[in-house]
Amino acid sequence: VKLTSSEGTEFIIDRKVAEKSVLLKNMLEDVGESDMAIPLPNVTGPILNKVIDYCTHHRDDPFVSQEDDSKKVSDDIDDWDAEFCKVDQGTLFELILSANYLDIKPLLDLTCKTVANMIKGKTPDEIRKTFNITNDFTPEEEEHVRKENEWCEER
Amino acid sequence: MASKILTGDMLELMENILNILDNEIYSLHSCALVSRYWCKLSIPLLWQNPFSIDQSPSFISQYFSSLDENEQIILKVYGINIKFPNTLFNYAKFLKFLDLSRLEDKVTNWIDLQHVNMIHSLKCHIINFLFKLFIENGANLHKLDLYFSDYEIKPEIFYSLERNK
Repeated sequence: VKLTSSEGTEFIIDRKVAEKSVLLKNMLEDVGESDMAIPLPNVTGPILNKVIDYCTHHRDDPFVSQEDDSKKVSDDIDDWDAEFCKVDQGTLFELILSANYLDIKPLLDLTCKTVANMIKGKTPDEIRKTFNITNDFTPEEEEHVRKENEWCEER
Repeated sequence: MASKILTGDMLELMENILNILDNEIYSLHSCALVSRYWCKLSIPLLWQNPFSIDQSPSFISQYFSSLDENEQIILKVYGINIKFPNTLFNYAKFLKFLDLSRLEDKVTNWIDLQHVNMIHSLKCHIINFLFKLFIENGANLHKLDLYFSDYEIKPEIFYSLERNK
């Protein structure tokens, strides 16, 4: 199967690897085998490369259906996956967007879990710093939210 | 620059991420204070099952901002004379899980916090107020545990039970 990234780089991968993506799987079923490259205008070369790494490593994993609720545990990431997610934040969020676009649920779960783990245990300020988020509350609003939810900090 | 996922685009993906934290009260509480967008998405998770966690029962006061005058008078009769200010969110509508024995425990603890006598009828009133608030505000219960039995009763049954009362 041939794929082209947003900048036009061509990737050739096994059909089995491509089928980890529900989007590609459905496309391949509809179109059948073809020499035509499938364009992926939303995915850049470096990200597609990562995605292919992931799909190749997990090519023999059983298919996870949408209903399977494995997302609850955020610590059950195996070594290979943890290593895979050691990327800069920009790449991590690009991976989430691509996993969503290509419909690769296990990759989406993994990357979202990784972000959740980055949030876990942090103060609001630490979260803002980590992700470079602007605090757009007015001081009164922030105080209000804090007051109405201070029970979370009390035992 | 922050990823667009974190600042308002791709709501579903942000929900995915926060849902993973749904029993991490401390972390969700932090999330609620990050920005307006994060607040809007974290608050419903924080309030979906407040009766079953170990935190303080003081959250019950936040529900009472929508008590009507008569109900406030009833509380006053028992010595609970607080003004419940309006809240930013309608918290009652976020409730998804309710375990009656936990509800009762939290109500008992809440009454303790008010330093008034623990009278059975007061407890009954408060439990009924809460139920009424949850129903009126359209809480979408996914799970209801009744303490005298281990049945999980479907919300529809629960609503018709209420109607038949």
